[in-house]
Amino acid sequence: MAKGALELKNVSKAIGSRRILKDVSFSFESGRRYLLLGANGSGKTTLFKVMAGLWRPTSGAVYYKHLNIADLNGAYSQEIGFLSHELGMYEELTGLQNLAFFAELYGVRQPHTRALEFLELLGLRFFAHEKVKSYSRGMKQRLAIAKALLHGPKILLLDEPFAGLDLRGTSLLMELIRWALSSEGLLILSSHDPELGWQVADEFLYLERGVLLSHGDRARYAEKTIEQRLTGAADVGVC
Amino acid sequence: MLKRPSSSDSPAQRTLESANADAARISLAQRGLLAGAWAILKKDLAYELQNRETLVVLTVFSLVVVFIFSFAFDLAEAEAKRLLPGLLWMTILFASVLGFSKSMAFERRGDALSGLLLAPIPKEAIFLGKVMSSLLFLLASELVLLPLFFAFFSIKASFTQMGLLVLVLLLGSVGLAVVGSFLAAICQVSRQGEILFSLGYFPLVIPILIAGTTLSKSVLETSQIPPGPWLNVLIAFDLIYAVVCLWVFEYVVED
Repeated sequence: MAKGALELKNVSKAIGSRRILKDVSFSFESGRRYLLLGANGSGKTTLFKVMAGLWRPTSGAVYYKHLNIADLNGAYSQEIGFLSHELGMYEELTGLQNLAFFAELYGVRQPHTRALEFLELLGLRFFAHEKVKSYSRGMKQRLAIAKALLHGPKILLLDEPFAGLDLRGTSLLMELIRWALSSEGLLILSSHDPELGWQVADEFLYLERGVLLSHGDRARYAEKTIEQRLTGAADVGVC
Repeated sequence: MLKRPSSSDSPAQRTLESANADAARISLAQRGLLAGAWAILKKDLAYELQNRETLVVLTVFSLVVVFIFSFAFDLAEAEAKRLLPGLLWMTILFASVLGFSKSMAFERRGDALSGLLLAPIPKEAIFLGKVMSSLLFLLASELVLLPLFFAFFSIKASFTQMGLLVLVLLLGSVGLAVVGSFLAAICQVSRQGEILFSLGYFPLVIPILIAGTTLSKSVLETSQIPPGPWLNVLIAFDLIYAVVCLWVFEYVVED
């Protein structure tokens, strides 16, 4: 995959009269792992939905391999694994039925077998035949992670992947992320716990009120006092 | 792309590697319209077999309606044949509303629709799958409803009449399932969805109901489809709604 595998070009998104994202431009390089930071309401989830192709930008565009994702439809969906705040699964079906259904939609061979393998991998094999609505928050999160990974995506978009996970789940997810992405893969994740995010990320992006204010490596993160801004301890401009 | 880790070969690595191998095989392959629709239909059937939610609700509703009507009207067979089509289609209309709201609630919980929209299948496959499952549930409820109406109102019908009536019910149900599934999708992506559903569904299905009732009445009274335009009206509305809804579905569910 060439550099600039996923590119945001002047992406803006408005919902009603409220502008959530304002002219965001950035080029994500393949083989890198990005940590998307920002306070609540800064536009992180909206940006994830736009990058996943779930929401169309109001203006600007997202490009994958120099092609507008709006023109790629299913071909782009096949390349991404997206974990969002919402479960995106059927609570009235069992964990196994959910994963097997989505595996089938993604064209995975032997969807039932693959679903069982991922349930085993995420420590949910014992609960495979239980309805998702009976799962705890952490178990639902594990199931959603399995769904994001089961078709072997090249781009992983993980919005708050550690939310609801216990220590064991967090460590398992870290391990999976490290294994899952090859040198060509791209990971973009958000986390309200930057320390946790930095355990897998190489680079950060900082959003504030829909504007991409800063990005760079860990040294720049410290230099630009992002952490203080996230905790409200600093009120200085970053760029 | 999933990678081979440097050291040990754990079950986790093997699972991820086989996912990777699959990804390579199906790379950029878009799932077809029918394959996607079929998967969605199977999923809805699996849910219904497990929970029997929709069918139980529709059957109980049909039983109650037929029971009440049979007590409310004490009709001779000829009168019953004139009245039955209207009662039948009205019951089907409200049963369909119940069925669609169940289907909507199922897709809404856990934001399952977003999961579907992200899948590499044509958006139309989602619509087609939902139409097929809604139609199946509606036809199943009619299978219960029709014999009940005939039994409670003591109406005798020939095989020809039954065959023609089933044809009319099938054509009408296709239209109801198409319009209902389309509006149910709007309902999920709009904050005023449920109001939109009520506002849109009843006016849009009026031509189907009028054609269905007129044809059913003629079938029961004369054992034939009338020579007038009603059959064409029913088929035309089915086709128009199917084409328009399929065409605009993608735009409706975006955002």
